[in-house]
Amino acid sequence: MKPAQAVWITGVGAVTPVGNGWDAITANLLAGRSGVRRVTRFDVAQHPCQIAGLVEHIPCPPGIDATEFVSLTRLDQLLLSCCGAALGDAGLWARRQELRVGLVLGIGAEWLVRWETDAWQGGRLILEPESELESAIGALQRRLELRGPTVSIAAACASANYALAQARRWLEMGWVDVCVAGAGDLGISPMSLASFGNLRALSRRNDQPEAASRPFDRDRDGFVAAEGSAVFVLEPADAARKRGAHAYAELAGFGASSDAHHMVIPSPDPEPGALAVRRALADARINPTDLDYINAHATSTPVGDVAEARILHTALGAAASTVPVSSSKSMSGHLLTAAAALEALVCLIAMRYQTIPPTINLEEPDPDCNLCHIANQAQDRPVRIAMSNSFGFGGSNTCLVLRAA
Amino acid sequence: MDANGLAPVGVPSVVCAIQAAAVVHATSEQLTLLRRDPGVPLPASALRNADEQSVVGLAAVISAKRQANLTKEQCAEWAVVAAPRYLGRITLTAAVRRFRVDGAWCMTPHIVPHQSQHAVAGVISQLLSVRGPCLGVGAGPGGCAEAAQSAATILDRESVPGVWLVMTGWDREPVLDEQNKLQADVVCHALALGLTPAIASNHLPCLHVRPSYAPAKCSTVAADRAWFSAAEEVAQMLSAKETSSRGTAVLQLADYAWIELPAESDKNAA
Repeated sequence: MKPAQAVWITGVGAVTPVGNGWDAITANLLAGRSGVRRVTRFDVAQHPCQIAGLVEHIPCPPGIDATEFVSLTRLDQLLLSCCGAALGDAGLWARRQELRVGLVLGIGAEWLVRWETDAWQGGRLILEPESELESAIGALQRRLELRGPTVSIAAACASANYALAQARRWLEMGWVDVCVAGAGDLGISPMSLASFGNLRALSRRNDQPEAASRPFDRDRDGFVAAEGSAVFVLEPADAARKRGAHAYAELAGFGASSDAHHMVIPSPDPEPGALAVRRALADARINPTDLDYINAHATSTPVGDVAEARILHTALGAAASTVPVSSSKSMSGHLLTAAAALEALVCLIAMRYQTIPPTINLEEPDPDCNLCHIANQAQDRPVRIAMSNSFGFGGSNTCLVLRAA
Repeated sequence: MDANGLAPVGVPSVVCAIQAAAVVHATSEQLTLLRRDPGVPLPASALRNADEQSVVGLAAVISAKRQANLTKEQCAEWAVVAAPRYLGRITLTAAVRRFRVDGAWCMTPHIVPHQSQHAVAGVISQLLSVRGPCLGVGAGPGGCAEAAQSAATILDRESVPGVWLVMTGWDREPVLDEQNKLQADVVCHALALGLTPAIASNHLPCLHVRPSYAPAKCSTVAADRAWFSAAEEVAQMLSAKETSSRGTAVLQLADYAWIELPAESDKNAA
């Protein structure tokens, strides 16, 4: 495949706090419904933050044995559900063994989740290193019966953008015919919720779960952790066109950089983040004024949202005041490793329906976050090119550009 | 398909010059020393909460940089791709025990930033001021394949001037005793390879990477060990400016990767 050839997204699968699958997620996001709830899965009485965006049900995808599915860990179920659904949506489930199908997924804390879950169930997995277990991505490849390279990527909240970019490159390099890419995270556990809480990163608005995630609002007090997954099928535009596949969008550009500043706190200098945005625009061969929508990383932390606003003004100049911006984390919470995957999906929804999902709970915009906000209600706007920012712990800055195919 | 039936014929490999290489092995006692002094002056608290695999990974990159005379400025826009194996076992074991007794309020806030899979790459990026793409890959057995393929992918279009490919793990896997003490006989390993786009005239060892079509069951810790012995040989060769003592031109790592060593005539030309 020639490097200049477009890569299309032709399949989607998602399980999230704001619904499972395209239709449910679209309906909830465009209606401005929050998926944040009080955590009831485990005792949170002693936790500083007692709310989260939780996945209620993980459906078994068509083609997978339901009995085997229920025997899997929740993370294995989540990834299998979304990847199976995405391949089915792309019309490639039946053909997956004829093709070289790559698998690139953001998975951030696979072993921590597995060890902790086992420990609460009375197991001793963490103390038995001789049991060399299969990684989640290896098991997923085996269950999906795929033949192609695999990689699990972790760049905290930026993981899925890296995964999508690597998948696109594998197609360009001729390493694969099709690539399944996205991310999944089931990080809402007693210890992770406590750790994030004690890091003072989470909202403590426990009595108002649906109002707790409020990016860019003056009264924001931290993010709301969430879980879920979104996965996409990517393939060369020519191949997709030839088989009559539906294209959600072209994966048009990607940029990345690192702050090299702090493991948790974003850099006070907007330049590293702005560099990632500029690189993505250059990769997509567009100007800031070509953007129709920005899905902001905006997690609802006091420091992070201001930092992102400064990054956007630095990277986009005057366009930062005119391009519509919203943060879907106001509804979904922050899906951590899977955040960028859901937010790429939000961009696809905006492009399909020419409607921008809102930032809910944005009652009084922070003057230090002076952007063109789509506040509280979805707005009909032409959306041909959308950009999604994702900045992660460890200083990873990424930016993705999606264009109507 | 090739002779192994693993990769379709014609699938191009990515060729990366190995500018720098180092391998670090550290016992639990040596880890304590490395945490204080990984090889460059750092603020006293810089590695206080870092995982042991981050400490040895950082030390390996520092060692490789020094041996290759690479400056901070030369590596400023490089990427970091790090593959720790079973990261967080030690810290989480202690944390689970404490959580059972003391509950949520006593949970360390450092688990998320320092025990998630991106942590090794993040520490290297932060402390060595490396500002290119920065990501963790893999998680368990097979992480070396994932890391090599990711590093090669990032380097392929020459979108970055170089990539630090870092692999870390324990031999044997550590377990904390009931007093939360680490066994004395475990060793934490790290390798660091400084990769740049291959140029025919530079006569450096070259890492060849292509996609692995092998089934997942081939991914084991034992298979990953080949990387450490090969990296050790390349590191010795680069520091001594010699060709392979084994007299072989190729170090086969797996179906997806091999290292081509410069021939004697190339060395003389260099």
